[in-house]
Amino acid sequence: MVNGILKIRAKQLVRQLEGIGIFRFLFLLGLSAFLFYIIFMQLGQSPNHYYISAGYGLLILSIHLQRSDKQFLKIIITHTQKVYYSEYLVLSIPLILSIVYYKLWIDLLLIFLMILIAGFINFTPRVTNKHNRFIRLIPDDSYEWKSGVRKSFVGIIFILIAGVGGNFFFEAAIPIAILVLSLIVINFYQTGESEIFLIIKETGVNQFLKGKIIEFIIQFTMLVTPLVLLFILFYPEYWFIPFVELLMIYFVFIYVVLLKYAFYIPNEKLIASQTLSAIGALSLLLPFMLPVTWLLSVRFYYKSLSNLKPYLYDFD
Amino acid sequence: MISINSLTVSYTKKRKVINDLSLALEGGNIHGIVGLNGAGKTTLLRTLYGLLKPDSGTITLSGNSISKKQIGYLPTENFFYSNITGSEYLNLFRNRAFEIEKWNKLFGLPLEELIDNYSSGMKKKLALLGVLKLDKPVMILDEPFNGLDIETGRILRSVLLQLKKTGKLIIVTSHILETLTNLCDCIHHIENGIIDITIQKPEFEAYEKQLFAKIENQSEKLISDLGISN
Repeated sequence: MVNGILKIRAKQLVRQLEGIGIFRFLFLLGLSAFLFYIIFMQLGQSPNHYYISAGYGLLILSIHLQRSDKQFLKIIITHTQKVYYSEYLVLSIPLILSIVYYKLWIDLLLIFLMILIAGFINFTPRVTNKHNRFIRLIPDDSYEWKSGVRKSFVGIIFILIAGVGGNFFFEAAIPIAILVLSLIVINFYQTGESEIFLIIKETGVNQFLKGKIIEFIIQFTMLVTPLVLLFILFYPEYWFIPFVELLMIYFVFIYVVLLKYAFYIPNEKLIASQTLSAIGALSLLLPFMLPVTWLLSVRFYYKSLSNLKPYLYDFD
Repeated sequence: MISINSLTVSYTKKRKVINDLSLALEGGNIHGIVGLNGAGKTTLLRTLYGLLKPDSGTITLSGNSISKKQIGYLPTENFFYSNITGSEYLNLFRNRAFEIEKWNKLFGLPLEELIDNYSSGMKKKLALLGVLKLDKPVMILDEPFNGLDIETGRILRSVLLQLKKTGKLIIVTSHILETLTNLCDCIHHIENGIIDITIQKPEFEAYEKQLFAKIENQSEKLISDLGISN
């Protein structure tokens, strides 16, 4: 049965890769290789390798906490840990081999420990409606934000507090917090809403896309404005840094919205969009990638127009 | 009045799901569309709403091309965005005159709870409230009674009958004939992508008997072949 599940996973992966097309796949492969090279080089330096190993362990834990197939696996398999361990170990092969290469045995132990712990967590945290007072501040039209903030509320608050607290000690704290927040909110735009959500706005395609982009930018700006002001108050000589950063982030947001609707399928998790949004996220970490997102944004704009036309042509 | 003329819709070149279908749907009436699974009911409704592009044929409303601006559409399956509340969903539909609280007294939904925690029947009620809030002259309801409890089913029937009196054109599908016979003014039977028969209200009972007898005759031998015995 475990083999059967792993085969299904492999098939899902192949389908996802087919969905993004050969050229984008090769591009992503190149990017991944580049990212892996950076990680590999950093593993050779102390204490950076500890940060990488701990960060990776937390990533595995976070993936495990969010996966929604735990109940399904429990029904069909007695020892679900076998599936979890097999998947996480396969996913970790490049990092484990690199760690073995550098003989970082403590790091290796840490990663194995995190994987071991993850396998025994059998629940998925439920999203609640507890923080409704904050959610009400978000306009009803921004359902992606209402949904996303509810889901990531604790994480967002933690990063805001860390940014404010860290700002007292070093100048990079707030720019890093803004960057991490932007990476979180990009994930709000990875699910295709029902077609009814699009149609009830009763706007043409261009206006719809423009509205979505403006809404994304406004919501994010409102979220990070206190951080920006605090940064300028503490480090007025670097006032331009958050503005340049925000400008870069806005370009990525435009890319993410156009990407979403270029691959939009009603009521589905947009696999191609999820994969390709990695390019946007990477261009925030590696700014020389930004022109790639500009070019792709133009491409995805035209693709969005044709993809949304069946739903919105009546309102043009 | 909606006029459908020589409508053909296909997903692949080989198979036409709607095949040269023509139909006139009078305003101020409730029209039922009935047919077996896969007969083309949902395809017809999605084409009427403009979600599917026909290969050929025309659809007009009072002589003009039909538009989504004039239609409220309830799909068979109701999907919502995760982690939003019922109230947030309804607020997406723009109609200030619609009094949500009054309407919800009929449906009794916990609108401040996340939709993810709703039962399938509650989700159907919420989707219905959305369509009702739109208040369009044409309402297309694909399997609106699916998943509803007896009480809500009856309430929905009464609401639709009231809406009919305001001159709305209502199209309802169901694969259960009984839900349509006590609601509709006429029923159109769809088979192999064409409307093969339209029945007016006075003929419903005779048609129902005739249809059930036909189905029972067709399946009698197959059931006896199963060899089910005491």
